[in-house]
Amino acid sequence: MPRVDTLTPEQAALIPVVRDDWLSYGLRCAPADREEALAGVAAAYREAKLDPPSIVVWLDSPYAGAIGSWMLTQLPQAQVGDQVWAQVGDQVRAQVWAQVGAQVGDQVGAQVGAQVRDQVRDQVGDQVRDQVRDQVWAQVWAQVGAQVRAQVGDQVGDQVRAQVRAQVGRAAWGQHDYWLSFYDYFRRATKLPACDRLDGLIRIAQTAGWWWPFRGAVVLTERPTQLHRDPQQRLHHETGPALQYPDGWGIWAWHGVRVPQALIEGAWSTQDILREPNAEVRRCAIEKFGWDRFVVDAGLGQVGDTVFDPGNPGHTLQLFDVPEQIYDEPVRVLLCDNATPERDGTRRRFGLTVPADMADPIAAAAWTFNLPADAYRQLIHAY
Amino acid sequence: MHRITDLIDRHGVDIDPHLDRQATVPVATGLQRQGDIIVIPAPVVEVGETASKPVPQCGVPVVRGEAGGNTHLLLADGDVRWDAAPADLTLGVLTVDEGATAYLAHPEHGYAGIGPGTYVIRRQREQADEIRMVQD
Repeated sequence: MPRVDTLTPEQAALIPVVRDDWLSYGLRCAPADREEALAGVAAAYREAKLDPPSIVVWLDSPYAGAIGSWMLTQLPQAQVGDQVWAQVGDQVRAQVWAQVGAQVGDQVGAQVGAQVRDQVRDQVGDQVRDQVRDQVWAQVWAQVGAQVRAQVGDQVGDQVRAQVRAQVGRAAWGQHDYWLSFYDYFRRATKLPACDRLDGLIRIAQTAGWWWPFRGAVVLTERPTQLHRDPQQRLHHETGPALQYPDGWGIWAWHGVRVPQALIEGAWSTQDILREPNAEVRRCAIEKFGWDRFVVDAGLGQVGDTVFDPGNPGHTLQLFDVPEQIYDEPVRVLLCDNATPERDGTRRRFGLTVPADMADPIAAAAWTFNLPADAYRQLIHAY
Repeated sequence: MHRITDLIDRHGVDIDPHLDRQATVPVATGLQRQGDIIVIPAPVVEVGETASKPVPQCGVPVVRGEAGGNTHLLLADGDVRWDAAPADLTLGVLTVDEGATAYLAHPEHGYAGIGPGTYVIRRQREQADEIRMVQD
C-alpha cells in the first residue's frame, strides 16, 4: 500500500460527500435500525477480539442508556446506591429497570468501551498517520472531521454528555461519534486497509444513538425524535425541546445554551430571570422575554433621550443601561423598531446590546454598523 | 421608480404577503438599511476600488439565508457590479453604473433601490457574549 501523498481530483471530490453523509448521520431523527446496529456491534466486538455480546438491551435515550448501563455494572451486587437513585426520578428508574432487569441476567462482565472503541480508534489512527502525508491528514481533518465535529460533536454530542453528566461512563457516541467521519473518508477515498477495522463502529454510527459496550452485554439507545438548530447550527428551539428522544428526555436550548425546560415552555417573569444564578441562562431568558419588556419591568435606567430613528419615520430609539450583575458583562441595550411591519401590522420592538460606553442612542445604532454617529444620522431609508 | 409588484415580476423574488405590493420603491444614492445590512455610499466610508464582477440575471446573495433566515439578494437593472470581500462587518463593494439601478430584495423587508455610485455593504453586530452578527 503506497503512502497517500496527495489527493487526486476524484478523492478530493469525495470530501464534501463524506462530510455531508456524516452530518446527516449525526443529525438524523429516526428510529434506530436495530438489526444493522447489532451487526455493527458484532463486527466491532470481533475487531476488539471479543465474543459478540449475548445480552442486548435497547433503551430510548442517552439518559436511559447512562442509567441502564450503570445498573448493569451494579447487577452482581444487586445493590444500588441511594445517592444515585435520588438523582433519578422514580418513573425513569422504574422504566429503565423494567427494561434492563427484564433483559439481563447476572452474568454481565466489565465495561469494555475502551477495548471496543478507543483502543481500535488509536490503533487505526496510528496506522493512518503512518500512511498519509501530514498535509493530506490536515486537509481531510479540516474539511471533514473538524466540520462534523463542530456541528455534531460540539453542538449535539457535547450537550448530551453535559446533560447526562457523570452517568455517561464509557459511552460510545454512536451517531455523534464525529471522529469516525475522518477515517471513513480514508476508507472510502484511499482504501487504506486499517480503516476497515472501524467498519463495525461506522455501521453503529449510521444506525443508532449512544451505546455502552460490556463484556457479554451491550446497551444501545435510540436516536432523537426531534432536533432543532438556529442558523448557526446551534441547538435552539423557542417553544419546545431542541433535542428530544422517544422517552421524552431532551435538551432545552437557546442558541446553543442549555436552559431549564421552564424557561422555554413556561413563562419566566422578570423576577425569575433576576433570581437565575447562571449569567448565561439569564442572558438567554432576557432575550426570550424581550428586551423592550425587560427594561421596563426591571426598572433599568435610560441613557440619553428618546430620539427618532433615522430612516424609520415615526419610530424611536432608546438606550438603557444594563447593570453588570444582570448581564454577564457591562453592556447597554438599544431598543429599536423593525422598519417593516409584522403580519398583524405592528412593528416589532427589539433590543440590541452595545458596549457600555455608548453615550446616546444614535451613537449606539451607528456602532452596530461601525459607523460614526454623524454618518448614521444621514440614513434616508430603512426597510 | 417601480412598484414592488413590478419588481417581483421582473426579478422573481416574492415578499411576505402582508407587505404592500403596490408601494413604489425609491431609488436612493445615500445611506440605506435593509434589516440587518446597511448600504454605505463611498463618500461616507473609504472604498479602494470600484467593484468588477457583473451581477448576473439571477442575482447574488449578499447574505445567504441559512435555515430559518432569509437571503438578502442583490439584483441588477443595467450595469451593476459586486465584489464580495467579507472582512469583519463588511460584506463587499457594490458599484452601480450611470443609468443602472441595483435592488436588494428580501422576503421580509421588500425591495431597496440603489442608484449610481459605489458603496460598501456591511452587516450589523451586537455586543453579546462575544460580538456577534445580527440575524434577521
